[in-house]
Amino acid sequence: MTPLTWTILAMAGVTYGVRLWGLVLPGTRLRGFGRRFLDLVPVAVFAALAASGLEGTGAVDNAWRLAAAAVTVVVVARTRSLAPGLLLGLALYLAVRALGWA
Amino acid sequence: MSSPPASGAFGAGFRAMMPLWVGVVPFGAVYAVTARAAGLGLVDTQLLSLLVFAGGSQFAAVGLIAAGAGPWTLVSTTLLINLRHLLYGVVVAATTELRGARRALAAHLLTDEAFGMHVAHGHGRPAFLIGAGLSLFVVWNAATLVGAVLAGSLPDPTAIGLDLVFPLAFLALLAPLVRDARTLAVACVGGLGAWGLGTVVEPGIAILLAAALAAGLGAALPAGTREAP
Repeated sequence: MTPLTWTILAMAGVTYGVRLWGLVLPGTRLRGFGRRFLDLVPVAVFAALAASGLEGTGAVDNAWRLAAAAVTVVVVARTRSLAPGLLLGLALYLAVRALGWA
Repeated sequence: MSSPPASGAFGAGFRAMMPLWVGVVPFGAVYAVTARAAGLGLVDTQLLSLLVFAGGSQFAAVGLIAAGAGPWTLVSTTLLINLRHLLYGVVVAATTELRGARRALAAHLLTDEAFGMHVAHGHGRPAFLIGAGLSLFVVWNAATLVGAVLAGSLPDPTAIGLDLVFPLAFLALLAPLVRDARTLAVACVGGLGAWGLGTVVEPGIAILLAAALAAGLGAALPAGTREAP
């Protein structure tokens, strides 16, 4: 055990504690604002997670990343399935990067 | 709509995460390479992936260790970055019957990606959440091990554009949930908020603040738009 190992155990403890805490809170009893808030958390979180990773390294790169994002959204909306949209959008961007366009 | 039978839910959850492996593998390996470069041993590098199992906070921790941060900085930053998982737990608990050992295991496996997949495709089945979580856990840890051993000889996934798989995955999970004016407004506030706040605070904290603000504003909107079933 290095001194860092003890710190890692503490980091694991706080992370696990936060995750378990949410699971044991009585969310099912919520009504009104609390219930609507919980129902909207996935939409808010997915949008926040997507936005925080979408920005690239410059105007041209950002334009291609947004184009790949548009492909993913359109294909997912059409097919109602995650994988084809995700992989098509990613393939477009990887191709653009491999060709040196972004 | 009736839920699919519980049998096979574990496998369904496990397989649902497979498209994400294409991004998880290189990033797990790069995390390990970065950790080794920051001076972490093989065991500590792997322990972070096994016990903390939260990519964003693992990258942040490695950066802090490289900068000479002390234990309290590391633990408090980890707590702040991972505080958003509290929201995930509350949302999952409202739809998914989890008790005892299953709840204890699900808590460890509750990442951004597993939460997203479960909310979108899990239909409240506990086994789906555990399957999705374990899918990511196994691949993330295998990639960590490979990266820790091969440190220094792996290409940077960001350099070839593979980092885009994560925002695309969250957009793919988001798209079917945007069904009315309320959800569209929440998505816009959440996205723009995280993007704006990300320039001033840690990304994990920006996501927590933006998501809480967006969901709060959405919940406070007058009930003119009917919630989608």
